[in-house]
Amino acid sequence: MSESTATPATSPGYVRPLPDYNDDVVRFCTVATVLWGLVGFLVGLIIALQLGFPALNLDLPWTSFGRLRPLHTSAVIFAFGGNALIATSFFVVQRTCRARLWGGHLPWFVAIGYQIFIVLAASGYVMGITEGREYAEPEWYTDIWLTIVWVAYLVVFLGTLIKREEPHIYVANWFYLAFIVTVAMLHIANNLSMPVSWTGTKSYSAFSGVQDALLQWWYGHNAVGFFLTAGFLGMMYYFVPKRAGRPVYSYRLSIVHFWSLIFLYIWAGPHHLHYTALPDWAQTLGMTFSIMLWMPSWGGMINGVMTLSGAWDKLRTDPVLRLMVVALAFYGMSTFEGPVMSIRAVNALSHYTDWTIGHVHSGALGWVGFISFGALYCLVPTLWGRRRLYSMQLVNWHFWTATIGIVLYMTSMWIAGIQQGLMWRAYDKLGFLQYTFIEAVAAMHPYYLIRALGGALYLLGALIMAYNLFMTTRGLERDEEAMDEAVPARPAPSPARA
Amino acid sequence: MTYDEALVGASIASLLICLSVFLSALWYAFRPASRARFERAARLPLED
Repeated sequence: MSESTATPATSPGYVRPLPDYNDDVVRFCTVATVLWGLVGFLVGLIIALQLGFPALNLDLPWTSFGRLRPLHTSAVIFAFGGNALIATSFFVVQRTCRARLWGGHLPWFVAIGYQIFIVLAASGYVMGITEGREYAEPEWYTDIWLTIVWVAYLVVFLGTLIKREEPHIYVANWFYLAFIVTVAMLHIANNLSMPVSWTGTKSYSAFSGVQDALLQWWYGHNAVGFFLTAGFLGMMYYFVPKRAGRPVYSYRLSIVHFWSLIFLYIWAGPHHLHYTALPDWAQTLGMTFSIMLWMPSWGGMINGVMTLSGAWDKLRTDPVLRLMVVALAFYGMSTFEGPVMSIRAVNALSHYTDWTIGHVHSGALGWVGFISFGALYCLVPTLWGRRRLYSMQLVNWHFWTATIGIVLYMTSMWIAGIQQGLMWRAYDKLGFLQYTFIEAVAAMHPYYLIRALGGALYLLGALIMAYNLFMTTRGLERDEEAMDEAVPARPAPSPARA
Repeated sequence: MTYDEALVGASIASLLICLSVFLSALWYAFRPASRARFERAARLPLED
């Protein structure tokens, strides 16, 4: 356009042109999210079946439960969840700052470097190379690589915030930034170790004894708090208002939510070490802060759900929004259950049982999974320039398949866990243990089968999503009845007939 | 100063610091001057 025909920036009709967003890297991480998600869910199903049918361990070290379990947890948390967070944070920060990602090719270094981290970690697990620290299993060389990639991620994110065109930093970016900064701090502190040799894979932690345990669970619980909560809350604060077409219910509440959540979460880790050598006061501190977390957690959940205030009908017609609102319901449920389980007396029953597994999966499958699926369904048509998704009916199928899967998973693990705990603590009249350990293991078999069925349904839902998203990228639209057709209300019975 | 005295002093100081940080966050969120800015900010996801 020539200068003579351009609308001056000061004129009333002037619309500021959008920056040339770097969406290639977001597309790359979006595809990685879907692929790693499928891998993670599949390995989860395999190890669930291994617990029901131990012969499926195949008597091979590489396929044993002990090696595949960290492969599953890392694949779903760091590969699926991590890529979802990188993709959405890069997408959101550009749009809410009206600025292209800072750093030239640096975002690509982050995206590809993160995939290299995942491959290094996963191959190590299968070969038996591990630090043996839950959720921090990768050995020292992988840890150093991740540190480099993560610092680059922080630099890209901060650089984009600094050069923003919008005066205000939108609250979603606050949550993303807290996630990036805190994960860096946790990762570096928990992985301080000394390699046995520079050419070998083995290293030993810089800490020992109860200090080592405390540091590990300070890391472990805040991996939940800042990776699986704060980061995904950032996702929620952008995509729920976006999809609902309404601003967040209370921006002020979102600020109070942010500061209270990040302050309280960091202290809650010691509740993982009840009845251990950790001093009582530290255990009580962890328990107290966990209970206090109820308030910000539910404040955030209410803020997200109430964003639909005045638009509840969209839940009936938009399964993508339904996924995100049900994610918030699971968030509320698991953040209620967590503090209950952190109470020392409850923990005496629940700790080391499958109740914990059920709790973790209500948060992981319900909250993290569903909010990510919702974000993916929003992202893909936008990133590939499509009018709409290939099929909303398939989103509906995904929603119900996955929801039934989660319910089967959670309920079976709740019952299994409580039964396990009660069997372990049961005494006979003479004061001996009433059940042997193997009797408690055998009693879990039916629950493990139900859990595996739930996991299979969840995987099936993810496969439906992958197909739907793939067809969307190809620009196809399924010929189907629109879901927003109003269902005529039944006429109210007349007084005479009533 | 004994250990117990230092402990009490540290506890009170920590309480006051945490309380003031929380009150600062509340003040930032709820001060009337922020209302217009937050209403504008809340619409950011809808404007891109």
